[in-house]
Amino acid sequence: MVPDFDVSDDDGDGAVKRRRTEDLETFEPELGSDFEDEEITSDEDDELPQLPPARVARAVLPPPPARRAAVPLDEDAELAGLAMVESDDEDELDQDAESERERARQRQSFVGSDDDDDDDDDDDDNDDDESGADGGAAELDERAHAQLLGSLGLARGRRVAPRVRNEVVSEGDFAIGQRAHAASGAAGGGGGGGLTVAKLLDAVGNTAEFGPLKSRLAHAARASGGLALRAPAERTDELRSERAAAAAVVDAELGRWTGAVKAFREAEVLSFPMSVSQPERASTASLADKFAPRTALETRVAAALRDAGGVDDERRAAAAESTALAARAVTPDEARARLAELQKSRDLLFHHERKLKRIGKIKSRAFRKVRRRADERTQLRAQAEQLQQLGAGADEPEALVEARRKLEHQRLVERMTQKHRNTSKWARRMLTQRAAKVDPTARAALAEQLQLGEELRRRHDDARHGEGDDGDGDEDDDDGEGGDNTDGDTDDDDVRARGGEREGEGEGEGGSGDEDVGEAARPRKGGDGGDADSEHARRRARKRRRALESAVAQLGTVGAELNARAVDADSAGTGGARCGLLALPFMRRGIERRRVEVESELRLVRDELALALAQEEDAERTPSAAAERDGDGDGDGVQRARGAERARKRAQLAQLDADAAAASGGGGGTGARRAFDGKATGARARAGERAAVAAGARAAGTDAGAAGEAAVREAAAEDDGAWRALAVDAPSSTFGLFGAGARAAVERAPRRAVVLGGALAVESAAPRTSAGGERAGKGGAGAPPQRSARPAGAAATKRPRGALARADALAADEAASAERRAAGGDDDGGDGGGDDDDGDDDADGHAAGSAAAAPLLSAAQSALVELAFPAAGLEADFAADKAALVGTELPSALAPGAQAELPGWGSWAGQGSRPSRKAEARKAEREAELRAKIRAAASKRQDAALQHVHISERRDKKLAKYTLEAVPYPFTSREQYEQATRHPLGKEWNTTKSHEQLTRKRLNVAAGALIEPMAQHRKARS
Amino acid sequence: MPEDDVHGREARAQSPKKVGKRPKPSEGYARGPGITRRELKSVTDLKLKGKLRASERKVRAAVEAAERTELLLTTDAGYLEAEGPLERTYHFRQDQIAAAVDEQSARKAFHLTLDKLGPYRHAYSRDGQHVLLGGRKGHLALVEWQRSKILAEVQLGETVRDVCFLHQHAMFAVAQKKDLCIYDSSGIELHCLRTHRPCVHRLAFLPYHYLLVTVGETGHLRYVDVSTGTQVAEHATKLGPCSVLALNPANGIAHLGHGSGVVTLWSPNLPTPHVRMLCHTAPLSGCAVDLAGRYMTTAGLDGRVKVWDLRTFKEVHSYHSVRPAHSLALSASGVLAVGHGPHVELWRDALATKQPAPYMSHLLPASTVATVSFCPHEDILGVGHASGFASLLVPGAGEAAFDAFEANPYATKKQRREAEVASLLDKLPPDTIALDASVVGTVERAPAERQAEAKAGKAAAEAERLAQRKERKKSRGRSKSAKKLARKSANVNDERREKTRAAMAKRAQERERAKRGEQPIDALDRFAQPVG
Repeated sequence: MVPDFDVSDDDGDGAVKRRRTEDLETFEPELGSDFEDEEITSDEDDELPQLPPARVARAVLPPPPARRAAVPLDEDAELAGLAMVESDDEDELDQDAESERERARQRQSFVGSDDDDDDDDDDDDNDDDESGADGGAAELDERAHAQLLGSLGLARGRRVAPRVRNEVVSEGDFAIGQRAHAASGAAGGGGGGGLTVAKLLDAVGNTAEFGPLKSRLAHAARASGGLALRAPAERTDELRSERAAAAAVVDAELGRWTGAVKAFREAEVLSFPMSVSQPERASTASLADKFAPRTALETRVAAALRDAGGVDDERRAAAAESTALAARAVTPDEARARLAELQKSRDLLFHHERKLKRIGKIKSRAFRKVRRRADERTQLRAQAEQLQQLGAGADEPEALVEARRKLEHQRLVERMTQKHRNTSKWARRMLTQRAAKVDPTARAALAEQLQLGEELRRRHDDARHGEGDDGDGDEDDDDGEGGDNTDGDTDDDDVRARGGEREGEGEGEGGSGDEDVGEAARPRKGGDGGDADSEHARRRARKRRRALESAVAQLGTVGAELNARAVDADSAGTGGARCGLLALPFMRRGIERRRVEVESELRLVRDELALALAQEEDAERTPSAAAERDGDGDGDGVQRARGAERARKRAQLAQLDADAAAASGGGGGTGARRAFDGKATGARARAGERAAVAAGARAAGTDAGAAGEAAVREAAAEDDGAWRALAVDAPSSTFGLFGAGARAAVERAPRRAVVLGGALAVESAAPRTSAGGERAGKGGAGAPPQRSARPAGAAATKRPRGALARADALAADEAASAERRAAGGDDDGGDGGGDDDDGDDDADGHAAGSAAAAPLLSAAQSALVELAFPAAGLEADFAADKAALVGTELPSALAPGAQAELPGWGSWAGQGSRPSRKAEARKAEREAELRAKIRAAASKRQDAALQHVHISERRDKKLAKYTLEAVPYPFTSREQYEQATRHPLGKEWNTTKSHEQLTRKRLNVAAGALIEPMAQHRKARS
Repeated sequence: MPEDDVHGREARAQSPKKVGKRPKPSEGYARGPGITRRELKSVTDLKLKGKLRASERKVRAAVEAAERTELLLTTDAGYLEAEGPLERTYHFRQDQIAAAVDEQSARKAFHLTLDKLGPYRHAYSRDGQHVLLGGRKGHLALVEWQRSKILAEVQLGETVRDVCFLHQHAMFAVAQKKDLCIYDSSGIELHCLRTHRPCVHRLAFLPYHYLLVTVGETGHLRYVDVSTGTQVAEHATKLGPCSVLALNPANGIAHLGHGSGVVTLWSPNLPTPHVRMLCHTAPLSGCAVDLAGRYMTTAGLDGRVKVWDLRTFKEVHSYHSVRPAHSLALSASGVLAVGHGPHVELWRDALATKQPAPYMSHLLPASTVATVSFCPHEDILGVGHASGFASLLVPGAGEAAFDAFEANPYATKKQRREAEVASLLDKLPPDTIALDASVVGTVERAPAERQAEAKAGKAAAEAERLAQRKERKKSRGRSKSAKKLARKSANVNDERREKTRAAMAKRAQERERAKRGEQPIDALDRFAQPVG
């Protein structure tokens, strides 16, 4: 069904306005509603086939361009006549039109060829005939004749130049408007606007012969309201507006399906035909209704029932029920109305909510006031503080004095009113009276008072806390320390040692064991007395000691670095090549000076640390003695733990000595010797310390025995391991020694076995013979020194002093940690349980053994071992393998030689040529850059932090074919796509129902079913 | 996961309303976090947004439905519990346990004394109905163990190193003295693979890929596709003889334990291991991976049993064994079995957390344990040892719920045959074995370099295509090769052409003038007076 096409109806007001604003489009609407299509049909129009109205409209509305171009004025005139004059004198009009036409022809004749002349003549004749009645015919004739002669070039007398009009712009689609406008402008004396009768008559001239005609025409024009014929719109604009109108109509028509199409598009599943009429299922009631008794029995039963009267009642009841149900049923209209109502109420609610929200955001005046006051107060306080910092001098700025005065005033007011307390008369009354509870303002005022008091208290506490003794601060520090375990080992063992202490104290002081836990939260009670004091002292000492330790560590590292630098410089100095920045004399001097400084500083700090340690020990001794006085048996364990810790600290000190010695090793060969010396001192110190531990252990008696035994067990386990490795793995051996597996195992094992054997041979069987605590120490020492001895040895042989010192430090570290763990183990032993944990114990024992053995083995010895058994460390092997593999997996840009400079580029190449210094520098820089890049790439690896793991980063090309290269359309990101496809759809991972849901087709069409055309949307229908 | 079609009625009866609160998608069924509302909000494409929302809704419903089916798994796993603080579960003996359980279960604990041809290695079929025993000295037996029915018994007369079932109990592989042989369920030799020389130490089978994995004396890891008989991959480990092989059931990766204390993780795709881990400072003696592929346990000759997290490749914790463990196994419920010397120790919940004591232990006096492995869907641990085979009751070891579509213990012969066909149709290509198998179907996480490479490759291919494209024949007679070449090689505008063009234009102009009868234009014409 094609709709009717009615432009004027459809466009409405807006369209009209638009057209008025656009001057060129005014042509058609001006024609008004009385304009009829039929009246302007020309010959060509008649030939149009019968089309449906819409198409006709389109075909008819744009007039044929050719015709328009050829005789624009004629047509305009005609149209004007049709529009304006209806019942007037036809002749006049015709005449007028004729004259116009003639003029146009004359113009043509002047420009073009002479062929038209005859026609012109005829026309002229006609004109003459018609206008002869007016009496001016002779003059006109003469003029025409003159024109004719002139045009033929036969003019008499003075030659008159022919009036030639050049059309610069050819007539066409785009020239109509101009021309028409120009014409009307010329005729009407530049009046502008449209084409009016008056303008046309202007061209006729003010002669008497046309007077009556003009007046009549003017009269007619006035009668018709002086309508002007506007210039026609440009062709393109005309077409555009037509298109727009047509599109609007089509849109309106098609829009009736938009909703339905949208619903279809958004539907997850579409199944056609859409409305399947379900076969009606027979209900029992319907079946009963249809039932008619047929057999004899049935009739008899029915009769009996009827007689009893039950059937009719039931029927009636059923009927009543159904009508009631029908009455309760909701009609679609009702449902729609209800829905609309609901929507409305929801909207209202929503708007109300939004309003409330907005109101909620607006802050009250009271809020602003409170806020302003708070700001003022803080400002004042800040100023006061500033004042205090500056010190109350005479030259205080006026503002500050004022601020202080204000603050003081405020304080005084508060003090006098006691507003921060609830003790004022008013407050008391308010608190007691019931009315206050009801009155919100009073309640608010009370709350404000309380808040004031709270604030004051807080401020007061802050101030006290700030200027209170160190002890308080320390306390907090200590309590929070478990969490900020920044420097690994040291802290850890501190915590552990302290744990032991606490334990002891807890028992010593009789059940105040949980005191440490809640100390920060609770205010300190007064009853602690001397214990608390000593505790404070100890903590202070500990804190100081820790600070000193960290200082020493820092200085030590600085010293070691300086030392290494000095060594480098030294070697550079003695070596053949005298180059490098460090080899420059001023640099060396600088390094030396700095080193000396650091050394002296280190010495100072060290002394102080020793002193601190001594103090700490003293501080510790007192409470432990107290604990002993208390007579608790567990004092022993505490003491022992402390003994171990002291020993450890002493070891640390010795280690520091060693470090310092290493650091102070100057240039030249002496450095090495001094480093060795230092190491020896360290070793000696460590020996002493071991003795101390052993002594402590001995003092501890049975517990120490247990600890010793753990170590011995480890030693035995090591032996066992050796034996195990030498013998074959158990099942293989039981499989028979002929089996290849056994042989393989022997082949597999030998390296370790030999190492173990060698180590055992070196350090022999000392552990077994000795007893008690000594056994513990030496048992550890007796264990093979593979792990730490090897790197230390390697370092000793390969690198000079600095490195050696570092290696030694490493060994010492391990020793310290081992000691600590031994102490820990000790504790466990004291607890009496923990035999299940022996796995850990023996690991520790092992570490202790190897680390303790390290200082005993001289560098030469370890070098010898290294030389004899070069591939001893599986870990080292693995690390090397990993490094190699990481090298091969580097990005191609970082592969070796990828960035190498081409020979001959940037420097001279060839036999005998030496690379320039610049080129060398460039090369070095490039290499450094490359190294940095490689390091960065390696640190980004998945296994960068995993020492014992190498994760291949090779691309799995075979797997890559099951992946996508890019995110498929319509997804916009990888995450989006992967999230959308993360769930498997298969039967194996879903219930049957979900599987069906997940894999349902979007479009289902019942075979052979008739698919109805799409229905309009509900709203469009209505 | 069992389907709800079997018990569909129950599933429907349990409506979500009755459950009360909507259950949160559990970790087991939800595959990672979904698209959040905020993420959805940022999607500008409305169509896509609608799609994503719909898919998210469906997935959530599916996850919830799957979770609801757990209600149907009524069987609860039990375990031994000590009655007082002084009682220890590891003191319970097998006869005590057998006396306490029902008769049917009690019959599952038995001991086969085979002290002549041991030590025995063994393997259970996937449905747990059959056990394959391989005595070192050539004794081979296929037993339907619950019915004590021997299906096949062969004396091979040569060394048997390992045994392994293929996809069903109807076929099994045996690593013999030199070769790898495949037998059917009646003990008839079907194939003999001679490319695995000098000898194979360990065998394993990947049921979804139909791949038989072998590793042996030379340390070569081989993958044989048993459905086509082709060797899919052969990798040289270059780490010496290898006799520790475990498969990760979750992703099909092969874990090899080496003499250098290193465990390597392999797939058929790469000639180098995906991961190398230094697990022990002594040769490896055993390795096992749990069902979900999260934890790996290793045993070394250093006398330690370590637990590793395969997601982070870090050690979780380690246990100490009195003698080095030689066989490890992990049950479906995560019970760890450790065989060392004559002892079998069982550790419950020992992977994520460190246990102070074993759950159970068993002593095989005067014997040595060779293999331990759990029977699927049973609370049974099979132990092959020097003097026979023992079937031990381990309460709480097995996963009680079985999936009849996976491995049906009650399958009829016809069902088994059909399952074989179905599994062959569903066979996964060997390429899909990867450390993270979930990358299949995702967008490749390629580094920038690789992306650039791909782009360049694409551009090159396009250029190649354009170069190869045949030039269309545009007009007749103009496609002579010499002319074409001249046309191609010549400039469009050259001097000669310009001249010719100018001359032609001049001539045309003259012709025009001649037609109009005009005189040819002279240079002096410009001085002529206009006419009139």
